Amino acid sequence: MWLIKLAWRNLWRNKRRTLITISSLCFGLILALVFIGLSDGTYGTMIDNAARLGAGHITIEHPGYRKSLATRYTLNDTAPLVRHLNTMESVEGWAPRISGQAMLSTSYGSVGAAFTAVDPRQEQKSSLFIKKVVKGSYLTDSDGRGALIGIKIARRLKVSVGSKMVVTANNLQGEFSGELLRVVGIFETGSAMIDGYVFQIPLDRARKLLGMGDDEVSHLAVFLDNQRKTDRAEQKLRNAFAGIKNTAVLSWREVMPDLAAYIEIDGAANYIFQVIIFIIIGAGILNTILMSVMERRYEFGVHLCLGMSPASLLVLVIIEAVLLGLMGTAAGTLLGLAGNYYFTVKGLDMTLFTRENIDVSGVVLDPILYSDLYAEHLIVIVVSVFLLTVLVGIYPALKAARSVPIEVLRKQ
Amino acid sequence: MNEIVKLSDVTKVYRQGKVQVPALSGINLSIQKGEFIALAGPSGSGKTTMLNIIGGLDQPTEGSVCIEGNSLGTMSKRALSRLRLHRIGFIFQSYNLIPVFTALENAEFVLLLQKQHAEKRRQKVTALLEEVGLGGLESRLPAEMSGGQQQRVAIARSIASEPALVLADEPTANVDSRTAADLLDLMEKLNRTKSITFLFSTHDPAVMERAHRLVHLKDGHIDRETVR
Repeated sequence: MWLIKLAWRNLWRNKRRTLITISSLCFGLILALVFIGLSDGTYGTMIDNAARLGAGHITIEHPGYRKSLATRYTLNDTAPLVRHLNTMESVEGWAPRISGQAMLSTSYGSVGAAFTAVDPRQEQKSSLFIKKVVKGSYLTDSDGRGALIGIKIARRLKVSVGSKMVVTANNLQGEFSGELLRVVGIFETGSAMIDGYVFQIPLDRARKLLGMGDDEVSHLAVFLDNQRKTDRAEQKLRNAFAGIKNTAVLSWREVMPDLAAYIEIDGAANYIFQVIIFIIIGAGILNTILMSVMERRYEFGVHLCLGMSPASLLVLVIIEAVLLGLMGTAAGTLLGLAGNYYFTVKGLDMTLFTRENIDVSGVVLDPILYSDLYAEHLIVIVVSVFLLTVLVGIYPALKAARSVPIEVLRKQ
Repeated sequence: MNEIVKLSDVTKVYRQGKVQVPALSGINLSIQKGEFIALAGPSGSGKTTMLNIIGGLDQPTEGSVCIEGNSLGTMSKRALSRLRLHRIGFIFQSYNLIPVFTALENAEFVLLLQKQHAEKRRQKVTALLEEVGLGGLESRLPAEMSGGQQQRVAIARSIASEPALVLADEPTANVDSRTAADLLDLMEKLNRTKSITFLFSTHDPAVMERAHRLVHLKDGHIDRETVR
């Protein structure tokens, strides 16, 4: 106990130095927490948006579909799958879909596009397209002739709400098949790829177009209440559907590998940045503790002279490092959390530094970044910074323990 | 057993590069319990080297040193550290108090190292500070005390554990003559009343006058001894 008392008072012998060290520790931690919080938030938003504009957080499809994206690979009986999905707490919603390639034609010309056929009622809960409609309305009828198209397709084909288009695609027999559509809504996501290439039509219209059976779909898009539950939910579904033939469960990472790779690479760069911050923090603390030890070598010699053991001296300096670490990490954590809270509510507006509509794998990055610091990241960062402080205290502590008592009397 | 310190044919040679510098040559000295003894001599005569060797802080090149019959040459560093903690007190020229500890905490420092019970420790040290004339100043930090007061705290620290021997390296060098006289009065009183053995190294004539036995060192030899 008295070692803690001595260590605590030793720290405040040079108040300015201690405060500067705590501040640098605190600043580094705030920087790390805010940076990681914004990264977590941004990645989370990207994943969620991509899932809600795409094939869900989890996609259930025919195992052959992903390789060829051929419409012949379908799920023929979704009822048992849906029954199970309805029992899962983390599942916010699900939507049957048919995806494929088609040609959209008007009297002004034709464009190649990708269609997603949907059941409008099932999309209401989770799809982002509903929020992105800028003209007209979302699809309402699952067997009508309505079409929701991207704003760039609309411009290219010179169509507006109410205009007619013809969609042509290869049906399951490999023959050309066409259907007349009427534009009911135009959406704008900000992504050139989605706005210029994607359109939605009712599910039953697509079945007619492709010659599919009543319950046939390309995939079931599963939406979760939190994208972070993907891995666990994916595993549960894989286990649950293991016995169902021709059913594959894929996470968004497998469906959107480009996005997964981007997040992984960007995340790795963030970790390198964190390590650099930690090295800077560590060097600062090492410098401070080492300086304070070197200044007190004579004093440590006196302690040894009086009978203090080198081990106690070692512990004394390590306690000083621990106390510095505790104060720095406590202040840094509080302020870092406050910073994260601010950016969770207000966001960090990056419009001054970035061009509008940055598109990553078809996902538009919101120029206002919102923080969402994950608890495990908070714990890892705070514990790492604290351990780093203690770790860099070991070398000065060893130096202190190796003080030679004889120098005390010699130097007098 | 009355012999506290016994030096037999102690020689100490320092190496400075290729040059060998003799600091002590063939020293034989016996110090009895309760002595008030001073080592005198010019700078470089070997006073501090002798204190270092007796305190187990340095080893002789040749010869042996025994404290209360225990040969220091056979002791490990840990055992030497324990010996200093329990049997030897140190008083330094520049006091060497812990600046962030109060007078009371400084005085009880050795008892803290000995892990003595807090209440017992406090009682003992409070009485001791009273005895060295620092009653009421227990909560003062070293920076808030005069040189003489700080040295009194150092004296209290050195005797708190009731050591067999107190090694005092020029204890009056940094204080004025009046304060020096007061400090010597105090140490003499402690020597007399508590039978604590004091061994000084000094240049100060006042210390030499008070010493019951004065050992004059010259070029690492005992030049002469004066007993009063």
